[in-house]
Amino acid sequence: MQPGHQVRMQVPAVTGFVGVLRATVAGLGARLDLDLDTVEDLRLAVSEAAALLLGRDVRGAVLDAEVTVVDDGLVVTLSAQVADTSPPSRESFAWTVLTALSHEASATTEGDRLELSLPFRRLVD
Amino acid sequence: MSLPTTRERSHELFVQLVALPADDPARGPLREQLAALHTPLARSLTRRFTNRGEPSEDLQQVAMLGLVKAIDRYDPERGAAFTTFATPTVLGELRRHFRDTGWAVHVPRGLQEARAAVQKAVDELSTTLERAPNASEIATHLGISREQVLEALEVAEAYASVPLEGGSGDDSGSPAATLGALDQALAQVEDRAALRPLLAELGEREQRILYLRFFEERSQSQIAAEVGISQMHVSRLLARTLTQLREGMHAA
Repeated sequence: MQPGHQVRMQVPAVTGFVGVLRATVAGLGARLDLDLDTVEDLRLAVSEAAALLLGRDVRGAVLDAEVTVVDDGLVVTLSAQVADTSPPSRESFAWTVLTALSHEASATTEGDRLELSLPFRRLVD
Repeated sequence: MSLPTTRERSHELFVQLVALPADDPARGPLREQLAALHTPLARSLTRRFTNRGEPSEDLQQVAMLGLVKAIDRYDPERGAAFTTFATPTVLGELRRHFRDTGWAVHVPRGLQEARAAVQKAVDELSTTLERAPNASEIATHLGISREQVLEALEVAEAYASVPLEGGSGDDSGSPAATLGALDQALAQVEDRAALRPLLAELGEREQRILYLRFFEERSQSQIAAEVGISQMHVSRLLARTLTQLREGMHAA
Protein backbone atom coordinates (compact mmCIF):
# COMPACT_ATOMS: atom_id res chain seq x y z
CA MET A 1 0.00 0.00 0.00
CA GLN A 2 1.50 3.26 -1.22
CA PRO A 3 0.70 6.88 -0.48
CA GLY A 4 -1.98 8.01 -2.92
CA HIS A 5 -3.75 4.65 -2.99
CA GLN A 6 -7.44 5.06 -2.42
CA VAL A 7 -10.32 2.85 -1.33
CA ARG A 8 -13.81 4.11 -2.13
CA MET A 9 -17.05 2.78 -0.76
CA GLN A 10 -20.66 3.72 -1.07
CA VAL A 11 -23.25 2.30 1.29
CA PRO A 12 -26.96 2.92 1.81
CA ALA A 13 -27.52 5.77 4.26
CA VAL A 14 -28.78 3.37 6.89
CA THR A 15 -27.21 2.82 10.32
CA GLY A 16 -26.86 -0.91 9.71
CA PHE A 17 -24.24 -0.28 7.02
CA VAL A 18 -22.00 1.86 9.18
CA GLY A 19 -20.48 -1.33 10.59
CA VAL A 20 -19.29 -2.25 7.09
CA LEU A 21 -17.46 1.07 6.78
CA ARG A 22 -16.10 0.72 10.29
CA ALA A 23 -14.68 -2.75 9.70
CA THR A 24 -13.14 -1.85 6.35
CA VAL A 25 -11.54 1.34 7.58
CA ALA A 26 -10.18 -0.33 10.73
CA GLY A 27 -8.84 -3.21 8.61
CA LEU A 28 -6.99 -0.76 6.40
CA GLY A 29 -5.58 1.03 9.42
CA ALA A 30 -4.26 -2.21 10.89
CA ARG A 31 -2.73 -3.16 7.52
CA LEU A 32 -0.97 0.18 7.39
CA ASP A 33 0.54 -0.67 10.76
CA LEU A 34 -1.22 2.01 12.72
CA ASP A 35 -0.98 1.15 16.40
CA LEU A 36 -4.05 -0.53 17.86
CA ASP A 37 -5.08 2.52 19.88
CA THR A 38 -5.34 4.41 16.62
CA VAL A 39 -7.16 1.53 14.93
CA GLU A 40 -9.75 1.53 17.71
CA ASP A 41 -10.02 5.32 17.47
CA LEU A 42 -10.68 4.88 13.73
CA ARG A 43 -13.68 2.70 14.51
CA LEU A 44 -15.08 5.23 16.96
CA ALA A 45 -14.49 8.09 14.54
CA VAL A 46 -16.26 6.35 11.65
CA SER A 47 -19.27 5.69 13.86
CA GLU A 48 -19.37 9.23 15.15
CA ALA A 49 -18.91 10.89 11.73
CA ALA A 50 -21.46 8.61 10.06
CA ALA A 51 -23.99 9.31 12.82
CA LEU A 52 -23.40 13.01 12.34
CA LEU A 53 -24.19 12.77 8.63
CA LEU A 54 -27.11 10.38 9.06
CA GLY A 55 -28.58 12.81 11.58
CA ARG A 56 -28.70 15.48 8.87
CA ASP A 57 -31.46 13.90 6.81
CA VAL A 58 -29.50 12.33 3.97
CA ARG A 59 -31.03 13.26 0.59
CA GLY A 60 -29.05 11.07 -1.74
CA ALA A 61 -29.85 7.89 0.23
CA VAL A 62 -26.17 6.97 0.19
CA LEU A 63 -23.12 7.57 2.32
CA ASP A 64 -19.77 7.91 0.55
CA ALA A 65 -16.54 6.93 2.17
CA GLU A 66 -13.05 7.34 0.88
CA VAL A 67 -9.84 6.23 2.52
CA THR A 68 -6.62 7.68 1.17
CA VAL A 69 -3.24 6.26 2.10
CA VAL A 70 -0.83 9.07 2.97
CA ASP A 71 2.84 9.06 3.95
CA ASP A 72 2.33 8.59 7.64
CA GLY A 73 -1.13 7.04 7.86
CA LEU A 74 -4.49 7.51 6.22
CA VAL A 75 -7.26 10.03 5.74
CA VAL A 76 -10.88 8.94 6.04
CA THR A 77 -13.46 11.08 4.30
CA LEU A 78 -17.17 10.56 4.81
CA SER A 79 -19.66 12.57 2.84
CA ALA A 80 -23.32 12.68 1.90
CA GLN A 81 -25.92 14.85 0.28
CA VAL A 82 -27.75 16.33 3.24
CA ALA A 83 -30.57 18.72 3.97
CA ASP A 84 -28.45 20.82 6.31
CA THR A 85 -24.95 21.36 4.95
CA SER A 86 -23.71 23.73 7.65
CA PRO A 87 -20.52 22.42 9.25
CA PRO A 88 -21.05 21.01 12.74
CA SER A 89 -20.48 23.47 15.55
CA ARG A 90 -16.98 23.35 17.04
CA GLU A 91 -18.58 23.49 20.47
CA SER A 92 -20.81 20.46 20.01
CA PHE A 93 -20.13 17.24 21.87
CA ALA A 94 -19.91 15.29 18.60
CA TRP A 95 -17.16 17.59 17.35
CA THR A 96 -15.33 17.39 20.68
CA VAL A 97 -15.33 13.61 20.30
CA LEU A 98 -14.23 13.70 16.65
CA THR A 99 -11.35 16.09 17.25
CA ALA A 100 -10.16 14.10 20.26
CA LEU A 101 -9.98 11.08 17.93
CA SER A 102 -8.53 12.91 14.93
CA HIS A 103 -6.88 16.20 15.85
CA GLU A 104 -7.00 17.56 12.32
CA ALA A 105 -10.64 16.67 11.66
CA SER A 106 -12.34 19.12 9.33
CA ALA A 107 -15.75 19.68 7.81
CA THR A 108 -16.38 21.24 4.42
CA THR A 109 -19.49 22.05 2.46
CA GLU A 110 -19.55 21.48 -1.26
CA GLY A 111 -22.85 22.34 -2.93
CA ASP A 112 -25.44 20.14 -1.27
CA ARG A 113 -22.85 17.86 0.26
CA LEU A 114 -21.28 17.87 3.68
CA GLU A 115 -17.87 16.24 3.89
CA LEU A 116 -16.03 15.22 7.03
CA SER A 117 -12.32 14.58 6.70
CA LEU A 118 -10.45 12.67 9.40
CA PRO A 119 -6.68 12.16 9.15
CA PHE A 120 -5.05 9.46 11.30
CA ARG A 121 -1.29 9.32 11.61
CA ARG A 122 1.19 6.66 12.55
CA LEU A 123 2.96 7.22 15.84
CA VAL A 124 6.56 8.26 15.57
CA ASP A 125 8.77 6.67 18.20
CA MET B 1 -9.84 -64.65 44.50
CA SER B 2 -8.62 -62.41 41.71
CA LEU B 3 -7.44 -58.81 42.26
CA PRO B 4 -10.00 -56.10 41.46
CA THR B 5 -9.51 -54.28 38.14
CA THR B 6 -8.57 -50.59 38.13
CA ARG B 7 -12.12 -49.78 37.21
CA GLU B 8 -13.59 -51.76 40.09
CA ARG B 9 -11.08 -50.36 42.55
CA SER B 10 -11.79 -46.83 41.32
CA HIS B 11 -15.52 -47.29 41.65
CA GLU B 12 -15.14 -48.62 45.17
CA LEU B 13 -13.00 -45.62 46.22
CA PHE B 14 -15.42 -43.14 44.65
CA VAL B 15 -18.36 -44.68 46.46
CA GLN B 16 -16.47 -44.20 49.73
CA LEU B 17 -15.42 -40.67 48.79
CA VAL B 18 -18.85 -39.32 47.89
CA ALA B 19 -20.28 -40.74 51.09
CA LEU B 20 -18.00 -38.49 53.15
CA PRO B 21 -18.86 -34.88 54.04
CA ALA B 22 -16.77 -32.23 52.27
CA ASP B 23 -14.65 -31.46 55.32
CA ASP B 24 -13.98 -35.05 56.43
CA PRO B 25 -10.22 -35.61 56.92
CA ALA B 26 -10.57 -39.14 55.52
CA ARG B 27 -11.19 -37.63 52.06
CA GLY B 28 -7.51 -36.72 51.65
CA PRO B 29 -6.11 -40.26 51.55
CA LEU B 30 -8.98 -41.43 49.33
CA ARG B 31 -8.32 -38.65 46.81
CA GLU B 32 -4.63 -39.49 46.84
CA GLN B 33 -5.31 -43.14 46.14
CA LEU B 34 -7.64 -42.21 43.31
CA ALA B 35 -5.09 -39.77 41.84
CA ALA B 36 -2.40 -42.46 41.97
CA LEU B 37 -4.73 -44.99 40.40
CA HIS B 38 -5.53 -42.67 37.47
CA THR B 39 -2.06 -41.23 36.94
CA PRO B 40 -1.66 -43.31 33.73
CA LEU B 41 -4.66 -41.47 32.25
CA ALA B 42 -3.12 -38.08 33.05
CA ARG B 43 0.18 -39.25 31.59
CA SER B 44 -1.33 -40.48 28.36
CA LEU B 45 -3.28 -37.24 27.87
CA THR B 46 -0.13 -35.22 28.52
CA ARG B 47 1.63 -37.09 25.74
CA ARG B 48 -0.71 -35.48 23.22
CA PHE B 49 0.98 -32.17 24.00
CA THR B 50 4.60 -33.16 24.32
CA ASN B 51 5.51 -32.27 20.73
CA ARG B 52 5.03 -28.66 21.78
CA GLY B 53 8.38 -28.48 23.47
CA GLU B 54 7.21 -28.05 27.04
CA PRO B 55 9.15 -30.09 29.64
CA SER B 56 6.79 -32.90 30.29
CA GLU B 57 7.23 -32.91 34.09
CA ASP B 58 5.56 -29.51 34.33
CA LEU B 59 2.85 -30.67 32.02
CA GLN B 60 2.35 -33.81 34.04
CA GLN B 61 1.70 -31.65 37.10
CA VAL B 62 -0.81 -29.58 35.18
CA ALA B 63 -2.55 -32.76 34.09
CA MET B 64 -2.61 -34.03 37.68
CA LEU B 65 -4.25 -30.80 38.76
CA GLY B 66 -6.95 -31.44 36.18
CA LEU B 67 -7.25 -34.99 37.40
CA VAL B 68 -7.78 -33.90 41.00
CA LYS B 69 -10.43 -31.43 39.89
CA ALA B 70 -12.19 -34.23 38.05
CA ILE B 71 -11.97 -36.48 41.13
CA ASP B 72 -13.66 -33.81 43.22
CA ARG B 73 -16.47 -33.38 40.72
CA TYR B 74 -17.14 -36.98 39.75
CA ASP B 75 -20.30 -38.70 40.87
CA PRO B 76 -20.19 -42.51 40.43
CA GLU B 77 -24.00 -42.62 40.61
CA ARG B 78 -24.24 -40.86 37.24
CA GLY B 79 -22.99 -43.96 35.49
CA ALA B 80 -20.25 -42.57 33.24
CA ALA B 81 -16.84 -44.15 33.73
CA PHE B 82 -14.38 -41.87 35.52
CA THR B 83 -11.95 -41.86 32.61
CA THR B 84 -14.69 -40.63 30.26
CA PHE B 85 -15.63 -37.94 32.73
CA ALA B 86 -12.08 -36.84 33.52
CA THR B 87 -10.65 -36.63 30.00
CA PRO B 88 -12.17 -33.26 29.02
CA THR B 89 -11.28 -31.76 32.41
CA VAL B 90 -7.64 -32.81 32.14
CA LEU B 91 -7.38 -31.69 28.50
CA GLY B 92 -9.00 -28.38 29.44
CA GLU B 93 -6.41 -27.84 32.15
CA LEU B 94 -3.58 -28.60 29.73
CA ARG B 95 -4.97 -26.25 27.10
CA ARG B 96 -5.40 -23.47 29.65
CA HIS B 97 -1.81 -23.95 30.66
CA PHE B 98 -0.69 -23.39 27.08
CA ARG B 99 -2.90 -20.37 26.79
CA ASP B 100 -1.54 -18.81 29.98
CA THR B 101 2.14 -19.54 29.64
CA GLY B 102 3.90 -18.14 26.63
CA TRP B 103 2.78 -18.84 23.11
CA ALA B 104 6.38 -19.07 22.03
CA VAL B 105 6.15 -22.81 22.68
CA HIS B 106 3.42 -23.36 20.16
CA VAL B 107 2.18 -21.60 17.10
CA PRO B 108 -1.52 -20.88 17.31
CA ARG B 109 -3.52 -23.03 14.91
CA GLY B 110 -7.11 -21.94 14.69
CA LEU B 111 -8.33 -18.39 14.60
CA GLN B 112 -9.75 -18.69 18.08
CA GLU B 113 -6.34 -19.53 19.45
CA ALA B 114 -4.67 -16.83 17.39
CA ARG B 115 -7.13 -14.32 18.74
CA ALA B 116 -6.33 -15.22 22.34
CA ALA B 117 -2.61 -15.07 21.57
CA VAL B 118 -2.94 -11.66 19.92
CA GLN B 119 -4.94 -10.32 22.83
CA LYS B 120 -2.24 -11.47 25.22
CA ALA B 121 0.53 -10.05 23.03
CA VAL B 122 -1.25 -6.69 22.91
CA ASP B 123 -1.31 -6.57 26.71
CA GLU B 124 2.34 -7.56 27.03
CA LEU B 125 3.60 -5.22 24.31
CA SER B 126 1.54 -2.32 25.63
CA THR B 127 3.36 -2.68 28.93
CA THR B 128 6.84 -2.83 27.41
CA LEU B 129 6.28 -0.20 24.69
CA GLU B 130 4.10 2.01 26.89
CA ARG B 131 1.75 2.41 23.95
CA ALA B 132 -0.40 0.10 21.87
CA PRO B 133 1.54 -2.10 19.43
CA ASN B 134 0.82 -2.33 15.71
CA ALA B 135 0.19 -5.46 13.64
CA SER B 136 3.86 -5.93 12.64
CA GLU B 137 5.04 -5.70 16.23
CA ILE B 138 2.48 -8.29 17.34
CA ALA B 139 3.49 -10.61 14.49
CA THR B 140 7.17 -10.40 15.43
CA HIS B 141 6.40 -10.94 19.10
CA LEU B 142 4.36 -14.08 18.39
CA GLY B 143 6.45 -15.38 15.54
CA ILE B 144 3.42 -15.60 13.25
CA SER B 145 2.67 -13.81 9.99
CA ARG B 146 1.25 -10.32 9.89
CA GLU B 147 -1.69 -11.67 7.91
CA GLN B 148 -2.51 -14.06 10.77
CA VAL B 149 -2.46 -11.14 13.20
CA LEU B 150 -4.75 -9.12 10.96
CA GLU B 151 -7.17 -12.03 10.66
CA ALA B 152 -7.16 -12.49 14.41
CA LEU B 153 -7.91 -8.81 14.90
CA GLU B 154 -10.89 -9.15 12.61
CA VAL B 155 -12.11 -12.08 14.69
CA ALA B 156 -11.63 -9.97 17.80
CA GLU B 157 -13.86 -7.32 16.26
CA ALA B 158 -16.53 -9.90 15.48
CA TYR B 159 -16.49 -10.82 19.15
CA ALA B 160 -16.98 -7.20 20.16
CA SER B 161 -20.73 -7.63 19.81
CA VAL B 162 -20.66 -10.10 22.70
CA PRO B 163 -21.97 -8.41 25.85
CA LEU B 164 -19.31 -7.03 28.15
CA GLU B 165 -18.66 -8.67 31.43
CA GLY B 166 -20.59 -7.07 34.25
CA GLY B 167 -19.35 -5.36 37.37
CA SER B 168 -17.35 -2.18 37.35
CA GLY B 169 -14.21 -3.68 38.95
CA ASP B 170 -13.21 -0.15 39.75
CA ASP B 171 -12.68 1.13 43.23
CA SER B 172 -10.78 4.31 42.60
CA GLY B 173 -12.42 7.70 42.67
CA SER B 174 -15.96 8.40 43.71
CA PRO B 175 -18.76 8.73 41.15
CA ALA B 176 -19.32 12.29 42.31
CA ALA B 177 -15.68 13.21 41.61
CA THR B 178 -15.76 11.94 38.03
CA LEU B 179 -19.13 13.42 37.31
CA GLY B 180 -17.84 16.73 38.69
CA ALA B 181 -14.79 16.65 36.41
CA LEU B 182 -16.98 15.77 33.43
CA ASP B 183 -19.33 18.57 34.30
CA GLN B 184 -16.50 21.10 34.40
CA ALA B 185 -15.14 19.85 31.10
CA LEU B 186 -18.60 20.23 29.58
CA ALA B 187 -18.58 23.98 30.23
CA GLN B 188 -17.14 24.33 26.71
CA VAL B 189 -19.75 22.07 25.13
CA GLU B 190 -22.90 23.77 23.90
CA ASP B 191 -25.22 20.76 24.02
CA ARG B 192 -24.33 20.04 27.65
CA ALA B 193 -27.90 20.49 28.85
CA ALA B 194 -29.00 17.47 26.83
CA LEU B 195 -25.87 15.52 27.76
CA ARG B 196 -25.87 15.95 31.52
CA PRO B 197 -28.77 13.65 32.36
CA LEU B 198 -27.38 11.02 29.96
CA LEU B 199 -23.93 11.18 31.53
CA ALA B 200 -25.41 10.89 35.00
CA GLU B 201 -26.99 7.61 33.95
CA LEU B 202 -23.65 6.07 32.97
CA GLY B 203 -21.70 3.86 35.33
CA GLU B 204 -18.77 5.39 37.18
CA ARG B 205 -16.27 3.51 35.03
CA GLU B 206 -17.92 4.63 31.77
CA GLN B 207 -17.94 8.25 32.97
CA ARG B 208 -14.29 8.03 33.86
CA ILE B 209 -13.22 6.43 30.59
CA LEU B 210 -15.19 8.96 28.59
CA TYR B 211 -13.64 11.84 30.52
CA LEU B 212 -10.11 10.50 30.17
CA ARG B 213 -10.38 9.82 26.44
CA PHE B 214 -12.25 12.87 25.17
CA PHE B 215 -11.41 15.61 27.64
CA GLU B 216 -8.03 14.56 28.99
CA GLU B 217 -7.08 13.04 25.62
CA ARG B 218 -5.43 9.99 27.08
CA SER B 219 -4.88 7.06 24.72
CA GLN B 220 -6.95 3.90 25.11
CA SER B 221 -3.88 2.00 26.35
CA GLN B 222 -3.16 4.60 28.99
CA ILE B 223 -6.76 4.45 30.13
CA ALA B 224 -6.62 0.65 30.18
CA ALA B 225 -3.58 0.76 32.47
CA GLU B 226 -5.15 3.35 34.70
CA VAL B 227 -8.53 1.67 35.04
CA GLY B 228 -7.10 -1.85 35.18
CA ILE B 229 -8.90 -3.42 32.21
CA SER B 230 -7.71 -4.41 28.73
CA GLN B 231 -7.41 -1.93 25.88
CA MET B 232 -9.97 -3.94 23.89
CA HIS B 233 -12.36 -3.57 26.77
CA VAL B 234 -11.79 0.21 26.93
CA SER B 235 -12.50 0.39 23.23
CA ARG B 236 -15.75 -1.54 23.57
CA LEU B 237 -16.90 0.51 26.54
CA LEU B 238 -16.20 3.74 24.66
CA ALA B 239 -18.06 2.52 21.58
CA ARG B 240 -21.03 1.46 23.66
CA THR B 241 -21.07 4.68 25.67
CA LEU B 242 -20.88 6.92 22.61
CA THR B 243 -23.72 4.99 20.95
CA GLN B 244 -25.80 5.34 24.09
CA LEU B 245 -25.15 9.09 24.26
CA ARG B 246 -25.91 9.58 20.55
CA GLU B 247 -29.16 7.70 20.84
CA GLY B 248 -30.07 9.63 23.97
CA MET B 249 -29.34 12.97 22.32
CA HIS B 250 -31.27 11.96 19.24
CA ALA B 251 -34.28 10.95 21.29
CA ALA B 252 -34.18 14.21 23.29
